[in-house]
Amino acid sequence: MTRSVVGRLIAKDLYLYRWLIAGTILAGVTSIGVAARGGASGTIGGILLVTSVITLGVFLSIHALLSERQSKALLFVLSLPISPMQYAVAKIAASLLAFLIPWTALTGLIVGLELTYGSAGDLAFTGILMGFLLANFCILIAVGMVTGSEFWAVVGILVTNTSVPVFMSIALPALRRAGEGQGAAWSPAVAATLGAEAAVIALSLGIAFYVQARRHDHV
Amino acid sequence: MSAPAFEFERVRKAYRFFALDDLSLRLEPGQIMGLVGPNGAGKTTLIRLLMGMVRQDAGTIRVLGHPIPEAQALAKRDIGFVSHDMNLFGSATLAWHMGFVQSIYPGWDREYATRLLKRFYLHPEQRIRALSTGERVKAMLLLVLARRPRLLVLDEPTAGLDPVARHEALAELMTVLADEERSILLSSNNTHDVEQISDQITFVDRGRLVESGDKETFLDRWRRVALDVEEGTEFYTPPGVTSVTRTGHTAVVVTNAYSPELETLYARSGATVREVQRLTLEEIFVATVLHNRKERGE
Repeated sequence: MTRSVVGRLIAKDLYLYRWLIAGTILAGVTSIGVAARGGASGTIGGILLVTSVITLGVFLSIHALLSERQSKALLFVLSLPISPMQYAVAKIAASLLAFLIPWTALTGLIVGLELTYGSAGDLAFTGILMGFLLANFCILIAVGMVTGSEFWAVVGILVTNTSVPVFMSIALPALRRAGEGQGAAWSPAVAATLGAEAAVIALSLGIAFYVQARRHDHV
Repeated sequence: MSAPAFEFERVRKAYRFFALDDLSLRLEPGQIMGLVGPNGAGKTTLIRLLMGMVRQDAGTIRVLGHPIPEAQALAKRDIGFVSHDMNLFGSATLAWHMGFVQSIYPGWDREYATRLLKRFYLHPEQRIRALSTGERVKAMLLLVLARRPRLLVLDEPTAGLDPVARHEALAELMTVLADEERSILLSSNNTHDVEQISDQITFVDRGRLVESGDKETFLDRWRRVALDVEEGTEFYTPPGVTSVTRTGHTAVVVTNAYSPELETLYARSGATVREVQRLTLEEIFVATVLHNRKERGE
């Protein structure tokens, strides 16, 4: 029964955030359409796409993770036949899914376009950028689950959002240059960056579960 | 024999500025316990411990035979919980909530839920955020009652309700009481509500259990006795007297150990018993708490 309750809770969050998920996909696809025109439109479309994904992460970290606590719906959820750890599993899984559905759809669309029209270098670039956005969202999940505080969530949002333009304007061009210098898109630097992003994702989720497991008071 | 609805044994939970201390309490199946205490007495902490939402620092808790918080998921299959500061999902409708709860609890009684909708005058297609406070409480009661749980835990459910909504909510609870296997823990500041439906009364104050027992015994042993006495004479105070107020020739004694012999004792000591009155639960509660604080030197 409890396993099915976890599933119901995940389905519940996906239902409650269905318009946000659909809206992000729509905004993302539109942005990709703009970006595909190239030139200045390419830059604008790219910025709009990144903004759509960041906005999704911000909304989910505030609403899916924290508003349940602040609106006292958490008491209702915790009165269901689940343990607090199962609640955390459901909450993290639902937030990740709500993020990953548009993220996967948009990444898939970009990759498809790049495989058709672009180069291997573009693929690496896309992988690193989308991985960076996913890692940032996982950091926000960890901050939300560990602190349960809107203040720290806003601090997390500020820090992760600030890191995006820095990453895009400094790290990505440097990685691209390094790859070109070595004559391969999937250079060791690119692989190391992807590995670091995977490590941040794993560490963030690990911290969120670890803290939840050690927590005594859940309301 | 069924396990107790719940059982606390020497439970302690400490926060920075508050501690629930050495609490032992038990509710048998089919009984209704009214949990009464001033604001900040520890009623909500006790209920959150029972629900596994917070973990005790010491002591053991069992609910419907399951250790808490370890087996809370099992215990909560048969617990219906409504709290005054609990909320549903504002953007979803009541119908969606009913479907959600029904998908989790196989014992959901669809016919009863429909009857409750009519009785509470609720509209399933209404969004939760559009409901008034009273309607929201009724919606939460509907969601737990239609599951027919073995234990109902109600944390000040009628707080903030208008008299009509409160009456409707309590009337439905009274109907639920017809099931002798169902137990209820009702926490409230409203002693009138508690007196109306409980058969066990528990007083808590400043994190301690002050008194717990059968309601009728409570009401039977508390009396206010008005006496005519000689001014300036020594006054007999038998055990159980919690307060004595003297004005001239009149003395008013409040006791928690009343028996008809008390009147004989006063008559023998030269006082004339003018009137003996029963106390309301609210008066008993206030007298108990103040007496307890005085005895503890607080």
